[in-house]
Amino acid sequence: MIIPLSHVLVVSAGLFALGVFGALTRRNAIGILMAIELILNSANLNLIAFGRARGDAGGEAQVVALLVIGIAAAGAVVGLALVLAIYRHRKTISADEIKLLKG
Amino acid sequence: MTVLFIPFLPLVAFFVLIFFGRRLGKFAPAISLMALLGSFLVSLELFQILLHPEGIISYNPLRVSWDWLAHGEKPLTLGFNFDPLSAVMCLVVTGIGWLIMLYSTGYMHGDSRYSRFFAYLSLFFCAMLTLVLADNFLLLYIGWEGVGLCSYLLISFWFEKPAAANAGKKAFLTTRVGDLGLFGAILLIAKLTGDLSFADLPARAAMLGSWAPVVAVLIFWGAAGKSAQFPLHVWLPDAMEGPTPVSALIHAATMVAAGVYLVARTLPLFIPSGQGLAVVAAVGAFTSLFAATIACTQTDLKRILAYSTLSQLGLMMLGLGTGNSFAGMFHLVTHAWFKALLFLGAGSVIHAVHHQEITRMGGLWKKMPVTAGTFVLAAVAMAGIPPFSGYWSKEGLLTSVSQSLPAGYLAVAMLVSFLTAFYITRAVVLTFFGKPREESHAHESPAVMTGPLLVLAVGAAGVGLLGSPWMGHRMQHFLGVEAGHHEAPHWLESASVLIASAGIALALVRYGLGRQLLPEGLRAGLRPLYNLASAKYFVDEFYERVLLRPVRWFSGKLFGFDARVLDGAVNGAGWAGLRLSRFKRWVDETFVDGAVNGLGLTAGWAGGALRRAQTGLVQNYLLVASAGALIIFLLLR
Repeated sequence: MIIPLSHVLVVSAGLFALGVFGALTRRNAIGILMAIELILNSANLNLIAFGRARGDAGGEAQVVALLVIGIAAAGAVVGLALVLAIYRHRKTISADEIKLLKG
Repeated sequence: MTVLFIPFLPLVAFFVLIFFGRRLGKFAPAISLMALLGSFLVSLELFQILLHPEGIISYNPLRVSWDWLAHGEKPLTLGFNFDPLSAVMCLVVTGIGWLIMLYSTGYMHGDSRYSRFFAYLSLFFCAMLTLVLADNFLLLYIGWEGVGLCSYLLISFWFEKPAAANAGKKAFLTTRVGDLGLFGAILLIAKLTGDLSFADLPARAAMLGSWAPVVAVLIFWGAAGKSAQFPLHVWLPDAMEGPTPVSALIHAATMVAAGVYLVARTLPLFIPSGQGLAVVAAVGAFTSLFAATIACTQTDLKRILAYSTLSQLGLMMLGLGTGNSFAGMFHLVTHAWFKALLFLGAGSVIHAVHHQEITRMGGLWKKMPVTAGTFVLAAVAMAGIPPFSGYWSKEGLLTSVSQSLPAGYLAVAMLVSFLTAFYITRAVVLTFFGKPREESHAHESPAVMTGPLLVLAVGAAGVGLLGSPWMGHRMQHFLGVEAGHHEAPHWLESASVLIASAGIALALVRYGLGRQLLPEGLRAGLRPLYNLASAKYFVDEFYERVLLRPVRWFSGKLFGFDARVLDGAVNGAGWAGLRLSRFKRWVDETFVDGAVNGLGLTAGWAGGALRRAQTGLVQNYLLVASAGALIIFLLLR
């Protein structure tokens, strides 16, 4: 049974929307990081789906997806390190209270 | 060329003294004296050449000239010319001047501006010698103004005294009125004949045509200012405020004679027009009588001499009015000697008693024998007693008048002779004889003052002989005048001596013996006339009322106009400028600064507005970024 491309795209779009919503609404900085992971994963899903749809013989789409997963992991590491540093200084990781750059 | 030394030596002395005079101290006069002695010796040398013209310069007067301004085809030439007339003037000016300068070293001793005095004297000699040596009207005018300036400087030499300062101003302004006439004459001559030289004046007199009387009267006008003739005479008596040697030198012997010299020099311009000569004679006669009557009433020794000078200058003018320049010039020369002597004698007296009122003097001859002796000699010479110099010149003058002018003029001249003898005898008697009317510690002046008196006395006694028949009319020959033509009739000689003797005798009776000459009734009747003469005929008061007051009133009005209108305009302009500037400041502050500040404010306001966007909340940024991405997506779709 072949899952048509459109179905995958719908799931991916839903995942993206969920990620954006989470990134915009979560107060917890770690939550925001997790939501961003969701957005990246939706993009990965799209990559794979389009690669499959175009008859990806060499697996180039999958290589790019793997690259994105790696970079996302690195981004999460930096993000978590920042969150940890902020927590040490300010005893909070609520995004509402962190506005040092307010103009 | 040698002639240049005569005026330039005193000029050098002037510059030396004006710059280094203070440092020279009491040696300052030595510079002036040496320079003037040099001038005198050069004059004497040139005079010798004139007398014995054979040889190098067969009667060609020594002269020097140079082109000064080249305008048109004819250059304006300035030059000095040593001719017989100039020679006589040079010798008189430098000779008498040197003696007076020597006298001044004693008279001015201890003055705080000692060297300045001699500097001014030197400048005066430079100007005066330029005047008499000039061979054209322009250079003469330069010297003319120069002597006027020096006269002013020397009259007001003691300018701390207000009277002296005022007298200086009065002299300068009054002679300036006269200078205007001379200047006008020079302009007319330049315009009509195109040449200002004194050469061939008779020919150029013809070129003047109908303007000749005008030019003549204008020249005489100038001469009247300088020689203090009637309408312009008021400055000379006041000039006596100056130091006495100055009165002797400038206001008796030399400068006031410049007017006489001018008329004598330009007499060819007067002769073609009878009117010019008539004016000269009439003014001269009037002045001489007018001043002689005043001199009889004055009690200030120097003022008596001043009015006497006026009177004698009038006589000289009367002599020139006959058309015979010798009549005036001869009297000028003799007058210079005896009047200088009289003034220096008066100076010696004033030096001794420290005032000038003859009513407070008397009996001074015992204390000052040299001064008294020389003064009496000069007085006798002026009165016209033979064989002293005044007799010869006055007689020549009377002869000339009797031959050329109506009998009235002769009568006036005779009357003046009588009055002259009278008033000078009065002055002599009241000053030197009788009993002392006031205690004084008078004593004879030092030798440096009496020495010149003695030398001048020799001149006052003897200089007239040069023009007398006893010495064959030498002076007349020298000046190129026909002597035989003017031989005096015998009755005139006797009459002239008689009249002078009568004047002396009457004065001796009146003042020496103290007897009244006229019966009481007549004296009371004549009292107003005496008062009139004593008040100098109210000429000064007349000028005060008629000339000075309107001028002052007018000046006051002009001052008011100035203060109100002109100052008002200036102040108004300033006020308007201020207002305009204030308006501009307002424009500047409002619009220009407004624009600049407005830009800044706008930027600040915009920045403030945009600042709100920077919340510092990372989710806000993300939201905006998302919204932006969405918008771009929608736009690109």
